[in-house]
Amino acid sequence: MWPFLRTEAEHVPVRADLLGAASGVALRTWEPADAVAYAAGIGATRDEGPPSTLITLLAQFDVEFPAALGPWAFARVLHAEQSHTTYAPVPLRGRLSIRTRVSDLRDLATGVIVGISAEALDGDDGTLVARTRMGLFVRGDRSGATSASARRSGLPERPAEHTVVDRPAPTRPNGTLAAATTIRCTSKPRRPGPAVSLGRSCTGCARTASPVGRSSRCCARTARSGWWP
Amino acid sequence: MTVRFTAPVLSGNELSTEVWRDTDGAVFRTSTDRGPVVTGAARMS
Repeated sequence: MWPFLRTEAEHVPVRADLLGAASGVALRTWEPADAVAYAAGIGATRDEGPPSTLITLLAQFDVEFPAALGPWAFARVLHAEQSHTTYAPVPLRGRLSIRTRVSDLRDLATGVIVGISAEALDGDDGTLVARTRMGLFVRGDRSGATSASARRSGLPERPAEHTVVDRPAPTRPNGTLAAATTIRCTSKPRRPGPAVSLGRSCTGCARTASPVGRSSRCCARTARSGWWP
Repeated sequence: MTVRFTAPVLSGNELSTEVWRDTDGAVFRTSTDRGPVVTGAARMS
């Protein structure tokens, strides 16, 4: 839970002087075993080779928020934007120095977007390794800060080269997903096993299941329909 | 990699994702029948 999210009664409106507020420097270290565990956790397969540098980075890139944020009402805050840029390879064993700051405030018609940027430097030589930015939309507030106007989407006018349609599974009256969900798993099973439940390791291949479609499978085995309780 | 949510993404909607390649990578837009909900870009340099 983000520490600055509280109840409506505790909400403090976003202020212009929030711009530039920074966190302390956080040091993150990791070993190859950490990277492998994380890669397996998010579904990497042996076929994809060793954990990518990006995965390694993501494993360690937890956010240290500036203390000046909030408190904001939980029900007012939405995740609006996310970006990630890497500038240098990240080794499988290493150390990063990370600092986070409020980089921009953008007033919209119905609220304000608070941009929070993090910069990760190599813990040994200070080389810039990555920058991330997240935008939090705080509904109902206006900072009054002078910020850049809304950015253009940058999407071309021509027809798309690829289009993918993802149809949702039917929803039960009580809100649970009723129909089948595909669990993508490309590993060969080590042993026959029952269907895998979402969020748990597949008994056939030990991978964590993730929903990607409309039928249920793991290890090329057809599983039962339904969203597991 | 940049992802921007332009509207709340609610469960139960059909999502259509369009992808355009360009000189630096690709950009994409995901929409429901009520309009775009996510835009983004992947860049390599």
